[in-house]
Amino acid sequence: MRKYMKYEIKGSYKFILGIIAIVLIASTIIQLNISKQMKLDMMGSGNDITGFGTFMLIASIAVIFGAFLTAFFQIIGSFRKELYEDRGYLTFTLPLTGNQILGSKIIVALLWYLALGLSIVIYNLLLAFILFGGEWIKVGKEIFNMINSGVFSLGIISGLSVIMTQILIYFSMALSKVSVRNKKIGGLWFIIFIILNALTSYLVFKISSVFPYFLDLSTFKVLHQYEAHSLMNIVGNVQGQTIMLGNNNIFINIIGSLSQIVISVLAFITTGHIIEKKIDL
Amino acid sequence: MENIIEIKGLTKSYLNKKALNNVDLNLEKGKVIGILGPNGSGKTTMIKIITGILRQSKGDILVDGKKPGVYTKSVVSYLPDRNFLYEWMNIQDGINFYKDFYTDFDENKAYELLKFMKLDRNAKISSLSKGMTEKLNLTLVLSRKAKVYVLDEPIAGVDPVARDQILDAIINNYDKESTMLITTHLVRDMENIFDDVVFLRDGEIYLTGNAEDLREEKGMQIDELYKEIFGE
Repeated sequence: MRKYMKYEIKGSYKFILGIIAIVLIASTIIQLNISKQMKLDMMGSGNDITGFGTFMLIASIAVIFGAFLTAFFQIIGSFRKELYEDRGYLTFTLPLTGNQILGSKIIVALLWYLALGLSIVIYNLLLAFILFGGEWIKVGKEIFNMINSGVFSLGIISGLSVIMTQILIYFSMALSKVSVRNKKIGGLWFIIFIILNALTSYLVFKISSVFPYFLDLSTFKVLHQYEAHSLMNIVGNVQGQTIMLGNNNIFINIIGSLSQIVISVLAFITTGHIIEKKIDL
Repeated sequence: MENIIEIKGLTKSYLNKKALNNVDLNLEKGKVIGILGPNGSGKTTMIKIITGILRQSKGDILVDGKKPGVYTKSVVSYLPDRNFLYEWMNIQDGINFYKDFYTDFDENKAYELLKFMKLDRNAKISSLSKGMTEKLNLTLVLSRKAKVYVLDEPIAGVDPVARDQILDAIINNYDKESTMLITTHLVRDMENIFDDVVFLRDGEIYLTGNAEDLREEKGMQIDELYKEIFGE
């Protein structure tokens, strides 16, 4: 499996590094502009920089979102190529199980998302430190203080969702390949994915409603929905949440999150089985 | 002699067509077997089922006593009729890839074959011509010490010089302990290397036997026999 991951990385690193390079260049341009504008403001230019700041914020979000989207399409495109292009003749004749091929692809995909995210965050923090100096250290400290168990909870939930979505996409692609006698029907996988995503979201919502127990990662206490609501000063009764945000804390619905894990594992095993036993080239 | 591949009642159906129809075939160890037939006769379908990338509709198939799967993929060295290496690779990457995944891969043999084929190991795979790609693919496939070699149309679409090099490589690097399955419709160029031949027609076995015996019995070369069977 490690060997296959090695070749997955070798085959995609240039593209991902290219995306990272573009994002970092865009981030540099954005931060340099902000720095320049702030200096002008301090010199008393009289310009209102609120609008400029908003524009730069939107530009930053667009650049980061675009980068993740491009990486995402590249990653899922690579799986699609295995199913529909000649390279599948190499991949699917390797002495590897379907689970090993799929597992390698998912791990490498997560590694790239992580690499992309970390490089954007670290580079921007360093650049901000260089450009804004002491002032930025204060802001940095404040951000650091905000990191608590709530952030970890959010990280866990987001990570689970990313993994589940990635597996469901691969599952939808594999299913679309075998469902119509191995014929290529453009966009079928996406329709399957939308349906599956809606079904699984509904299932997780229902399970979370039936089992309204939440985990507080700061105390490792299990709370009933009502206790969690009162701790967060939430008025009313919100059913079916997998995550509860508020009052500088985040609670995770235990059974809801577990059901996400179970769905991911089932989809993974089924996709591995399809790859190994059902796909016709 | 012991069978390395056993096929019983093998059928592959598509919507309105049977690519293979109730094929029974036993292939012995240590033989070079030509699977002959025109386009659409079921040669590639049979080979894909043997290599585990296509599922039969009915029937059984055993390769070295096992159903096609992870084990059989480790003992079958397959040359598809297309460029199957990843586009980002250069030739050296291809060699490293085979070395990593197949324990029976002989790296030194691969370098010798590359030299024989006059291929530069730094060349990008995407820059190779059809003939060079075929030679590279064959280099990788023949550098394994596999139990079964499956070559799908190894000389189709290449120039006569490359064709001779490919045939020489097959003859010189064939291991007597192994079995080699070769599909082709270019029978004249390849018939001298076949021990046995299988004629496939419309997904069924039309004729099978020892190549020399068939020549004697029919009083003609395998190429002429091919034309007689399929030229009707």
